[in-house]
Amino acid sequence: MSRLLRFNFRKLSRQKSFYLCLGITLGMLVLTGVMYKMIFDSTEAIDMGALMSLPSFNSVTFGLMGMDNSSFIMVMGVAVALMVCDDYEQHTVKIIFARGYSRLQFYFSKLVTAFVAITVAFAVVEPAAFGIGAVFFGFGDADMAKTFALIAIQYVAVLANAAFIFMLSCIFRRTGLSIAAALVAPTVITLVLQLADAAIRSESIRLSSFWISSCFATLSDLNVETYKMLLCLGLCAVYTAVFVMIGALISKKTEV
Amino acid sequence: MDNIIETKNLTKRYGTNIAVNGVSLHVKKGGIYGLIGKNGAGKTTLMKLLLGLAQPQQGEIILFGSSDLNKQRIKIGSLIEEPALYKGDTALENLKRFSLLVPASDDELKSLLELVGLADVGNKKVGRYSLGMRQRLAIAVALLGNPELLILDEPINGLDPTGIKEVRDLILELNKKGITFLISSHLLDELGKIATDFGMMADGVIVEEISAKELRDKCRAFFKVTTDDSEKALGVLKAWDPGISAETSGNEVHITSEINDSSEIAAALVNGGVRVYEMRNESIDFEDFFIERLGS
Repeated sequence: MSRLLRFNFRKLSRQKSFYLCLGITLGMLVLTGVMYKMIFDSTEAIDMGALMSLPSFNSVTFGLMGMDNSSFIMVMGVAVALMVCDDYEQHTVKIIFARGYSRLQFYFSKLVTAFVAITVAFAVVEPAAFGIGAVFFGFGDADMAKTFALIAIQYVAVLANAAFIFMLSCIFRRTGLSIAAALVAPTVITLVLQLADAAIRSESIRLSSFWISSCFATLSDLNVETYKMLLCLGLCAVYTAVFVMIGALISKKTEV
Repeated sequence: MDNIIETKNLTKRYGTNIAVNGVSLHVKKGGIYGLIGKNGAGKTTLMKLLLGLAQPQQGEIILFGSSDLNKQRIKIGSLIEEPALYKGDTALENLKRFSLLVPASDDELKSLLELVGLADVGNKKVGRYSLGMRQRLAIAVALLGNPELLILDEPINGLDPTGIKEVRDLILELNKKGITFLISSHLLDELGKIATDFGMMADGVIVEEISAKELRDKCRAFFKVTTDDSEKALGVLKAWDPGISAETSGNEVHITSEINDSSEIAAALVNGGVRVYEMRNESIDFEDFFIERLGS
C-alpha cells in the first residue's frame, strides 16, 4: 500500500492538469472579486433592488463564498476525474494489478491521493478567497469561531463532492465520460431533487436542501443557523462514507 | 516445483460466451511456452486470468507452486494487449514511476534501457516512439524487479521484421539468464523459432500441450507406404528389420527410421505377401500440424 501511495503521489505531483485546474479556480476567484468590485463601484449602473440583494462584502464573507465563486467544486471534479481515469485510459492499471496489488489497495491509494489533492487545493483556494476579499472589500468583522467552523464543514462538503466524483469515475473509467459526469451529475441531481420537491409540495421538507450543492450554499452564509451547519456536516460525512463504500464495491469487481 | 504455472479446469465466461473453458495449463520453469491460437481463441483472457486482471468463475491457478496468487505475482512481469506506458513521459521517467511499485535502483533502470536498446533515446517522450520501441520499453517495465516469469501477449504484433528480430533476440537472451516465458501469438513461424513448449488453444480450450522436441518428432519426414493391409505390412517390416521405427495410419505404414534403399522395403513387403500401391517420402509441415489441430 505504501508503494502504491508513493506511486500515486509522484503522479499527482507531476500531474499538470491538477495545477491547471487549481490555476483556473484561482483565476475564477479573482475574476469574481473583480466583477463584484465593479458592481459595487458603479452602483448607478444598477438598480438599488439588485444591489440590496448582494451580501455585504468583506474578506470573511467573500472567503466563505470562495468555494461557490471559484467553481471549485466543478473544476476540482474534473481534476479528480482525470486523476482516476488516467491509469485506466493508459492501461497502466494492468501493470499495477498484474504485479499483485489488489483492487482495494489501488482504490484506496487513489482515493487518499485524490483527497490529499483536494485538501491541498482547498488549503490554497480558501485563504486566497479571504485574501482577494480583503484586497477588494477590506477585512471586516466576523465571529471567527463560527467562520472556522463553517470552513471546516465546507472542507467536509468538498470531500463529499470529491468522493461522489471519484465514485462516478470508478464506474465510467473513461476520462471523457467521467468529466462529463463530474460537470453534469451534480446539476442533474439538484434538478431531480427540485422536481421531486415540486411534486411533493411539502412545507417542512425540501429534498434538494439535502444535496451537497445545497450545503455549499448554506455554508457560504455567515448568518446560517447552527443546526443547519450540523445538518450539513452530518449529511456530507454520510455522503462521503456512502460514496467511498459504493466506489470500493464497484472497484473490487473491476476487470481490465 | 517443476511447473512455474499450473492451472486446473480454469473457466471464464463473459455472459453466455465462454472465453476460457476448463483450461489446464502447465508451464515448465526455465522454458519458453508458446501459446498458439487464432484471434479470439482465448489466449489473452487466459493470460489475464493468470495475472489477476480478470477473475475466473471456476478452476484453480497455481503460480510458483503456491495458491497465494497476489503474493507470487510480484515475481511476474507482463505485457498484455498493448504497451501500457505514460506517453507524456520519457522512457526513463516511465521506468522510474513503475520502480516505485517494483523497487529498482537508478543503475538498474539504466541497464534495463540498455538491455532493450533504448539507452540512446531514454530521454525522448514515449509518445514519439515507434511501436517497436514502445514494445521494448514495455518489456523493460515488465523486467523491473528481476521477475522469474514474463507473460507476453502478442509481443511481436505489428512490428516490422527488424523489430520482430530484436524482440525475439531479447527473449532468447533473457531466457538464457533463467527467465521463464509464456508468450502468446498467432504467428506460428515466430513462436516456432523460440518456444520450447507449445499449448494450442482453440475456442477457449487447450487442444494439446506439446514440447518442441515432440513437435519436431511429429513434424519430421517419414516414408509412407500405402498397402492393402497395413497391420500385416507392419508385421512384415518388423520381421524384416526388428529395429525399424514405424506405425500404421489407416491403410498406410509410416516409417520414421532412416531408409537407405526404398526398393529393399518394397521387396520385403512383396515377399511377405503384402500388396504395395504407393511408396513416397512425406513430411508434416509445422504449420499444417497446428492447423490440423486448431481446426483451420
